[in-house]
Amino acid sequence: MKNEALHSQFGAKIASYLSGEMNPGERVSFEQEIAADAEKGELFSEYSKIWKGVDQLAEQSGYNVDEEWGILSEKMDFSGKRGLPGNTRKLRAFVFRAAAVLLIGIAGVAGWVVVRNMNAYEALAVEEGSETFELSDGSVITMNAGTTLKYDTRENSGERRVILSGEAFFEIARDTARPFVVEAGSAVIEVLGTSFNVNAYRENETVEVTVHSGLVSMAARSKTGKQILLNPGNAGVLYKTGKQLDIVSTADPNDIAWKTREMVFSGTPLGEVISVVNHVYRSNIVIPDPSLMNCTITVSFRDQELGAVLEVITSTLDLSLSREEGQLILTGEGCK
Amino acid sequence: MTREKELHTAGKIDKTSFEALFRKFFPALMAFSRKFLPDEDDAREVVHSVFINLWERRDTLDTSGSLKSYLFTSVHNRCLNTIRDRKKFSDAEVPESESDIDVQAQLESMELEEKIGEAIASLPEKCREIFEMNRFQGLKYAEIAEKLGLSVKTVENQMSKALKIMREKLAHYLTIVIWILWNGLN
Repeated sequence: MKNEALHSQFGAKIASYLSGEMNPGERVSFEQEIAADAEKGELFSEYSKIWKGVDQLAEQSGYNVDEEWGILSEKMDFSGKRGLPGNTRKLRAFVFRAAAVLLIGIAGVAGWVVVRNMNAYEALAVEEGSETFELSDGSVITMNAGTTLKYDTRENSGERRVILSGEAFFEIARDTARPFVVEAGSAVIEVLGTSFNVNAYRENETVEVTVHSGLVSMAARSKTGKQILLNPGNAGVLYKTGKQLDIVSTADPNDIAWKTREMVFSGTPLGEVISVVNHVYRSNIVIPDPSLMNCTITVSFRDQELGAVLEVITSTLDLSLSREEGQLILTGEGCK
Repeated sequence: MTREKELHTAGKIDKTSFEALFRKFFPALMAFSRKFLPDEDDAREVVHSVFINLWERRDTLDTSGSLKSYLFTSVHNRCLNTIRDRKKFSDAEVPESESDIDVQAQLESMELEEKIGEAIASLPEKCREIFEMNRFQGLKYAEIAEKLGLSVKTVENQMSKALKIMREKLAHYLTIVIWILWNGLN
């Protein structure tokens, strides 16, 4: 702009327009001003281009690249092969047994299909602790104690179907042609490639699905109910009757603590803390005195033994622990 | 594009050059990915899968083209795949309006963003501080004035000074390249 004085004066106006500092009245008269004067209009368009570029930069400035590199590195194996942690068992689920087909031939097809359908499911069971399995499609399933999982051994079924009783964390390999389907209690959960936790112990009143990545579809098996879509940070809760299906937002940092043995409590009431501990350690800790429930605790645990966890809780809140008929009983003064 | 040259890989990708690529392009790829997938975790999953794929294919990848272009094109394709997959679940889930965002325009706008970054860095100390508080931290003039113990008028002057300096530094780009970019991005 030729006129320097006009430039700096008008520049300030543009800046405050673009920053949203103007009130609606000022905005309207500013817009009229630039529409009426070509030189001002041109200056405004240049400034707003810079502004957009700055905004795009600002969108990128929120990422901590060190942290992000750490997240990616954890997922990767730089030795060349992609591996899985420790004691993962590999399974031949979803593998089409081509050899069998060749032997049976056309005449045998009908009979084979029936036989295959009857024997299509194989079962896995974990009684204590937790165990990790890898299916042949690359999906990894970690099962919690007291969990059984039946999986379809056929490959030609157009989907990957498992039947779950208990609790498991699923990291599903993406295969858009064949959705992964989990039947759990009264719920049916369908995904394409994602990670999520399903808590469907028979004694629970609900089936709970929490999503860690990707998108998960959940519905009641009755087929009459609605279908819900869950995003990371959401949980789907289906009540046992199979009638009520809700989405709740989980900020629950402990939903897969049973798998990671990492628990985070921040001003959490004792009752809730103990319920998480019982879930993670399959322990039976009870608090007979309701006044203790008001006590809150802020602490985090990383792969600690139950004894160490209880030691921290009891000494923090000045509680005593006694053992009676397989139960651990917490007693104390209570908190105001 | 003068900058393209240095992004051709002279040889094989090793762990060091892979990490450097990630560090250089992650923020821009994330911002690009989020244009399609507003959820941050979804967007990150796409960017991660592109890098993992790059690493796994590092021996067979044709590196005669630009890696930058390869990365943005891959993110673009994977985002569109994700959106398409989701439609299997629900017709109404994802708006398609974003799917015509052009990779080429994005690459070119990155050039400009680099220049803008340099221009911001070159601003006088106080001026830069105020500009960044407003644009990067989203503070209003009054909030900046209070934090820094200045008058709102001073903040206003510094903001206009920042824009003026940046316009001078970017004059070349603004006249030559920009009209292409914003045709593509708007």
